[in-house]
Amino acid sequence: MNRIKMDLVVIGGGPGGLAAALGAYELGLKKILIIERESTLGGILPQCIHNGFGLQYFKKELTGPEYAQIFIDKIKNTKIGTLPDTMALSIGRNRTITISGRDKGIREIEAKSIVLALGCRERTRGAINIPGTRPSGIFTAGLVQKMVNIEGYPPGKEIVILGSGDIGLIMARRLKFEGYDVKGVYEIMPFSTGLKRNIVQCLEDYNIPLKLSHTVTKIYGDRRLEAVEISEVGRNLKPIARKSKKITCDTLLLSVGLIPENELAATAGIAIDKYSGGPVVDENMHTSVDGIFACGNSLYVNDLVDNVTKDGYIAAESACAYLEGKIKRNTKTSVLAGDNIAYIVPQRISGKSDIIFRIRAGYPMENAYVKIPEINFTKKTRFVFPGEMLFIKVKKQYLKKINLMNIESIVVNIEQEK
Amino acid sequence: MKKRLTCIECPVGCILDIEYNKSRVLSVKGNECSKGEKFAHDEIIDPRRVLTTTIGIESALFNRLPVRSRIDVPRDQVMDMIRQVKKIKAKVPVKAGDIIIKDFLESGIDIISSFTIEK
Repeated sequence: MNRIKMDLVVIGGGPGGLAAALGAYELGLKKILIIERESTLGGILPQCIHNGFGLQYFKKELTGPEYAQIFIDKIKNTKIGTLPDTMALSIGRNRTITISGRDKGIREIEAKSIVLALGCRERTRGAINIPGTRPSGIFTAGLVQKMVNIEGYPPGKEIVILGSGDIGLIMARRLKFEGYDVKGVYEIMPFSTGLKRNIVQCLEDYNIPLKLSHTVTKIYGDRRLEAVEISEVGRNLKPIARKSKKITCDTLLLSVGLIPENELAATAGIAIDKYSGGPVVDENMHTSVDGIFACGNSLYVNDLVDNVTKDGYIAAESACAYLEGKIKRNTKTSVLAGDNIAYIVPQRISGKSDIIFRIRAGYPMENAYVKIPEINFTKKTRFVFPGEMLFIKVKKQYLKKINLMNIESIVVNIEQEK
Repeated sequence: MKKRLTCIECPVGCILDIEYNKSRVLSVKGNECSKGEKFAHDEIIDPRRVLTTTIGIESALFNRLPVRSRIDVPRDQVMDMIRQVKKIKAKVPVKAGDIIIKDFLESGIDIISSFTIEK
């Protein structure tokens, strides 16, 4: 079997993977390879044709394809290898990756280091158990985005959208632009998890109704979707039977959450955080397996691609430092998600350097404090919101105590001002 | 007159309390940065948005080419403009930034490609 040897293999050619490969190249690493299962680089960005990308990283407002193109062009001017149309099947001992490609069949790659940039998947109807028949016309929102923006297929004509995350909001406007009847966006929670700017410029601009505390409780239709039953839900998120109505539609888009893609990580025996859905990592993005790093939406689901790019560069720096023998996996202190925290990354820290904690809040809270009692850390934040990742920097003078007192775990909490 | 708007200049989404009369904005409160003030003014007097859509392309890998207006266009004309833009077809090779329609509908605004599709 044809064996390839590499210093760094980046699995996934989306924004995280492109930044990781470029970052490592800029640090002088020579043998870098990107493995990508699609025919083109860019990951999900080429189908995200709307503007709003790059405000933080490039200080200007780009569309998804434009953002991707900047990195694709940079990669082309390097000696970074790319293997499109190629799937990484498993990662074995000593970071041996088994790949399968269209042209050369199954091969193995020996990688001195690996960055996982595998992206995420959409939750489907099965994940939320909507009762009813099983007609065609029920899609995840990102799939419809690909159908409409890349493949050019119409999904249907009368559209109902369940879930008010950003993809749901963006697709409501996009399908309106394409001339379809977008009947409304329904959200089970009493708040939208999408960015406020998207509620304004996607829904309010085009008079598309948003109904909070509502969900789809039944699917009607034989071969094709004919209608859905929409019900109001109570505080316990359970449908209220007398408050339901039938809405005619031929297409239902589900924008009901994303899950980090980590089947490949599992083949390598990497520990997965059941809360974030991604690998357990330390401050260097080092997973529980030596020499394997993670970034992007396979680490945790990001709100902004700008942050994915930044994390890709961090993973690259770490992979290079690892190859030079400068860093080892930090396993010393565990970071645990406490009150009002859905998940937190990194989950392991050394206490030797400043840390930026990436925190997903559980529910909205005003005048909130981030508190870590074990190290006497308190930081006030204006406002926390599940749709907007919190980035909290903790300086190393706070973290010193971890080593001095040999603290095994710290608990991070979001609390309301008393 | 008074109006409450959500600023859409960045993901923070400040809530703006705006006082204005027919021709200009008198005061803006609630913005965390100077972009909010500009947004409030534009949104009251002449609301604009970036136009993004796709057009057909004959390519081995893609059926649609993403395009955008180089700068923002009047908000109320976005739907109409998209209907017009969709009539155009692109040919490969096309690079991100290439002009697809120059001076679209004599608006002075160019429609440009968002992506490079070589074959």
